Amino acid sequence: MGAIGAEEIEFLLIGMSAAIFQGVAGSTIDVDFWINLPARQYMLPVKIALAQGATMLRNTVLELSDGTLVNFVYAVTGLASFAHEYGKAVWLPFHGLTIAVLPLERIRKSKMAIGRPKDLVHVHQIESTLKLKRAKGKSR
Amino acid sequence: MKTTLKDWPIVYDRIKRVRGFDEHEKILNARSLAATPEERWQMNVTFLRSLGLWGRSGRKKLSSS
Repeated sequence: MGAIGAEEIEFLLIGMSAAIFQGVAGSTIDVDFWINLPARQYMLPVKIALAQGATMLRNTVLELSDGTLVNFVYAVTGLASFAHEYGKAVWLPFHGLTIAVLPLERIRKSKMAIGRPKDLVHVHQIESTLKLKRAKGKSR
Repeated sequence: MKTTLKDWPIVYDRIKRVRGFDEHEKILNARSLAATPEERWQMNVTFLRSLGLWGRSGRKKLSSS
């Protein structure tokens, strides 16, 4: 993340990993990054990750040296443009960086639009977390 | 209020009256909500490791199932 940020490439953490970062009690094996680059530069983050010791598994999927699977995404179903979503990002600390993370409501919207069985399970988990977050904030 | 994983009883106290969740779910969610983003991700990794589903060997298990 730091190496990609150092190249001044804008990215958003999305998907279930972003949901977990915001308190959803779920699990996922990969980390999805929405990258703001034109099509001709799609391989740039892959090259950066490879230079950091990652292993390429598929076109946009890499395994980092610590076993983390990373997926680079360039379009997200059900959401507005990158710039619009980036403007609404929540910024969270991680590994000494502050990274842009897609808010839970927007992850929910994207998963509703994709609509695979696993996405609908995630929607339920996200809605539960939103309900509990409201209760957490309201009490006292 | 900023919390960390060790503060989960405080969060549990705030959510314990919410309907639609059993006791186990409330404790699980209180832990997740109290934790920092770093701690939340570490819990995910620890959980997957405990099932042998993290990293290269874990992917092999998933693809063969």
